[in-house]
Amino acid sequence: MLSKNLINLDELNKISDYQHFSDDLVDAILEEAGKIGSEVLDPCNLSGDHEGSKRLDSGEVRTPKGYKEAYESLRDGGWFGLEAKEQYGGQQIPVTLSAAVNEIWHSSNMSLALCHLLTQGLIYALQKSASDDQKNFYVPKLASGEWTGTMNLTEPQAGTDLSSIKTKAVKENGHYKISGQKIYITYGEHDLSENIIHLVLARTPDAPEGNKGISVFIVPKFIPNEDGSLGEKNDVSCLSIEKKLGVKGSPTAVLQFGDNGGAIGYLVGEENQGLNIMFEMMNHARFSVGVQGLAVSERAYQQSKMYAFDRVQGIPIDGNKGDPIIDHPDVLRLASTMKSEVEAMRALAIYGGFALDMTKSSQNEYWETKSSLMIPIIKGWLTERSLEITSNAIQIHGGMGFIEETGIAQHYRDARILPIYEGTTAIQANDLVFRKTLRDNGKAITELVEEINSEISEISNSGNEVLKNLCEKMTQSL
Amino acid sequence: MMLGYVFGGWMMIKSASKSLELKNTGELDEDFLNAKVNTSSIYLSSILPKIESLSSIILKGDEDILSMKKNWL
Repeated sequence: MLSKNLINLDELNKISDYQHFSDDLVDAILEEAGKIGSEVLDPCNLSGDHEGSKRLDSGEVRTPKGYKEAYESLRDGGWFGLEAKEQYGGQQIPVTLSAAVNEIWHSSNMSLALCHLLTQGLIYALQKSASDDQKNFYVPKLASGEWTGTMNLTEPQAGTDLSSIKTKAVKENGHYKISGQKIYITYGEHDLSENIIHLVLARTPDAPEGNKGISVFIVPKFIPNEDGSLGEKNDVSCLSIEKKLGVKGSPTAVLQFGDNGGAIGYLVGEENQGLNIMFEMMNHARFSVGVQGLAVSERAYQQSKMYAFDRVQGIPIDGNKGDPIIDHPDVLRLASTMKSEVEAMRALAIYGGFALDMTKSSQNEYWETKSSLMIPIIKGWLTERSLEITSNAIQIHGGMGFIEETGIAQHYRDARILPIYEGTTAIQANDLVFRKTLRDNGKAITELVEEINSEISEISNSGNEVLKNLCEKMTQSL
Repeated sequence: MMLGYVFGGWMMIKSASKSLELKNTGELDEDFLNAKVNTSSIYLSSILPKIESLSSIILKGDEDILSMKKNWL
């Protein structure tokens, strides 16, 4: 409710892409998403974590029990196409709203929701950078959820630093042959959808060294026929699925491309444009991971709140026998600081989503600068804070928190990947300092701080004593 | 990280300000709005001050860290 007041939702209506957006739409979508989250996604969350995804000898991968049904619900409900453009069968809703929906998915079942997240990333990348033919062919099936997507960048010797990737791409009759090994591929292989579309970074033989020589290719698991039906299996195989600390239900694959002559791949954009194309979707992807941090924190908070209102242990100071532990000031402290941080994180996420949406408005330059500045902060801060928040959630549970059965430990483990993938916190800081601050001599950040300052003084002068005090504290920190 | 805390604080102030504004309109439940203002206060008194330590660490510089020899680790 309050989010509607924090940002000006009417502004979104002015954007031509979002003219169909309305308050009622927000309410309807969030209510339905909430139902699906709790009734469909959550039931296989803890069990999925304990079961994990497994690779069979055949090379197929089995996701945990319940995942297939949950995926089918998301697919059949049109949830894979929430953000995709209407012309491809999507609902074209603003990021502001899809961020709220994604929070629900990832707090209900992050491991399963990752399949959705990766597919959104692919849709976004193709919509931004693929040819019309490619978009018309691939995006509808991704938006419908019939096919799912993956991102293939990392190799054993190349993670944070992509300049040393070795996967090769050799041109041949209208396509390329791709060969190489990619690791840490989320949902690289699974049993949910009939096809998987991999987006793969590779080098052509004459490409310049380093980052300037990377191209990006669409590599389908099954090569589609012109009518979209599935053709031959492509030369991609899953060598193994990682055993991880967290998001265990999500199959993280080592993929071998081209063991038998080379996988067929279709170039997106021009040769050597690979990293530029990836960068175009970077803000959106990093923002999504920030929202994951918010989601797992909210989940952990909700569970610890339930526990604290129920569990009886000791007599709280000024309390009575039989009082639940929430009455102990220290537990109250943990719970209320967690709540407060989660709310700040959510507000920042909504604001960031709004800023991303507004880059399509008439003041696009202003919002480009603002969203670019805020994204590394949203990614870095929301993910880092989720570690302490999920840890505090375990603390509230006491000994039971350390026992897997209660399910709170899962969130602590699931959160741990968030400050790492999609650019480590160090990389976000690097991005913030070099690309976003030093490049323009700090102009953008200074302007933002000034804006915040003037908003604070406006609020401070509105006459309310409580607000005045809060503002003083804020001004000091600025 | 520091900027995260600061921007979070900015959001909470916006939130508190809007909540107090809305209290008079009767549009939303008063209890909910009171909760919002309280949550914002908690943020500003119990979370935002962490930046004081963060900023002093950042400003003191990394000379000592950079002087640590690898063979001492």
